[in-house]
Amino acid sequence: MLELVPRETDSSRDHESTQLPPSKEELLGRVAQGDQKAFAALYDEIAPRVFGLIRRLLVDHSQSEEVTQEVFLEIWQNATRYEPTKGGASTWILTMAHRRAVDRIRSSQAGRDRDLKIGVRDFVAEYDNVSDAVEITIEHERVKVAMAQLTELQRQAVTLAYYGGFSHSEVSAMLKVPIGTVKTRLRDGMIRLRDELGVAS
Amino acid sequence: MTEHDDLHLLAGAYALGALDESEREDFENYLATSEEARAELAAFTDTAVMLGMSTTPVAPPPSLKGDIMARIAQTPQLPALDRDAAQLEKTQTDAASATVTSMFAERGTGPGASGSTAERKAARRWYARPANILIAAAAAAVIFVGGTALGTALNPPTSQQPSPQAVGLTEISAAADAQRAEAAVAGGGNATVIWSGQLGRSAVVISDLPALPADKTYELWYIDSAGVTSAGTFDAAETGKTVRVLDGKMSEGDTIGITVEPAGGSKKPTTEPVVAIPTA
Repeated sequence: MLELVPRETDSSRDHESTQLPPSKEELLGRVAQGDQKAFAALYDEIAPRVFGLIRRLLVDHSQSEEVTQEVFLEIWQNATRYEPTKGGASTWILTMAHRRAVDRIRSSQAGRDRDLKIGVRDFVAEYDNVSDAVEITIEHERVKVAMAQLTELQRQAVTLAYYGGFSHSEVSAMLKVPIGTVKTRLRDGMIRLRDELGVAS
Repeated sequence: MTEHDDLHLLAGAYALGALDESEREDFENYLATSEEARAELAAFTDTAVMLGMSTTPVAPPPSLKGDIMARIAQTPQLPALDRDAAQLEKTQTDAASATVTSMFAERGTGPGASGSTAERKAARRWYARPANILIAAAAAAVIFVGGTALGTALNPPTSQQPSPQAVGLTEISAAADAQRAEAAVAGGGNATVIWSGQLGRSAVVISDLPALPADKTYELWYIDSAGVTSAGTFDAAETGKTVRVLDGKMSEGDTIGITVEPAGGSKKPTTEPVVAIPTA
């Protein structure tokens, strides 16, 4: 059975005191030295994020497990190349997880099977209704507020691309707008989100 | 220019994972040429991660952890690209002295380099990202010397006599421990490094390398944990493949980098490399 897990505490705690558990960045540093215990600790910290995101994209449970496994193997192999000064561990890991989930969708029947089950309206509506879930993360609230600032078309395009793993040509077909329009809506949508979420540019 | 105008529109789709494979590559090649694009993408990547963080965390089944732990115990890790970087960061030393990243990315004196924080951040990320454009391409393509690509390089159509470069290349590729690795060159072309750890020599063979204006030159570098050492300058061949045996002594594990420098070359790289190929 799946169960929802409590959201992580704010990562800023990592810098407050040395008595607190090691940050994900520190753990990754140890993983880079071949430390399997640190890897296990990192897994415990971030696996629900990784699995949650991948399952959001793939829907299929067993494929989501497979891709999660691929991502953690990749973390293990590439930890030697992670540099903490260049960006947070969560960014590094979730970017990788999203990429792998999208690759799986593109390379397998998973995407097409999933498309049959979920229409555009269901897809976007699913996002809107996540707020009914038991645990609501701070990030979810922030993103929800930012998403509300987008135009309908921007919001649909961004949602289908990121959470659906659809390519821009698929998004174009689903929303019945020209592909050039999708490209520009994805970009101006991201500009808007970036600004709303206060990401430094 | 027009092509770039089109490509820069893809930044949003790229960060969201909405490009197909060939567009992804086109965009990554474009990224290699534009600091502005890298800065924009860095912010978009952070934005996309926020979208990812907003999904509801779901605990994977407990058995998954056991499976993964069993697999990593059997799986070797990739060699670090820069052995001293972690140590430097631990000791809070100014990282500008000895890392590949800082050598190339923090030195904001190259053409088009500017000092904004976002751009420096983007430039650093360019080396730090898991899907590191240059290194990933290189690591994916380590192949033992076969000889087909060499045949053309060794017999340039314009000369009857093999050039000294071609002779050097032959010696290196004939060594018992000769190896090669390939990577795409940002801005155009495909570079192959052929090296012999026993001889301590290496050569690059580059197809379709764009010619530079008269006031610029290509410069080769050995990059290791101690820093960056020039291995000479060269210009693109007018036709066919550009062949250049590196000056100085190569140690196995060095990364071979190429930058664009002012004519006459530089003592230290002033721009980001157009290609960097690890010999390991």
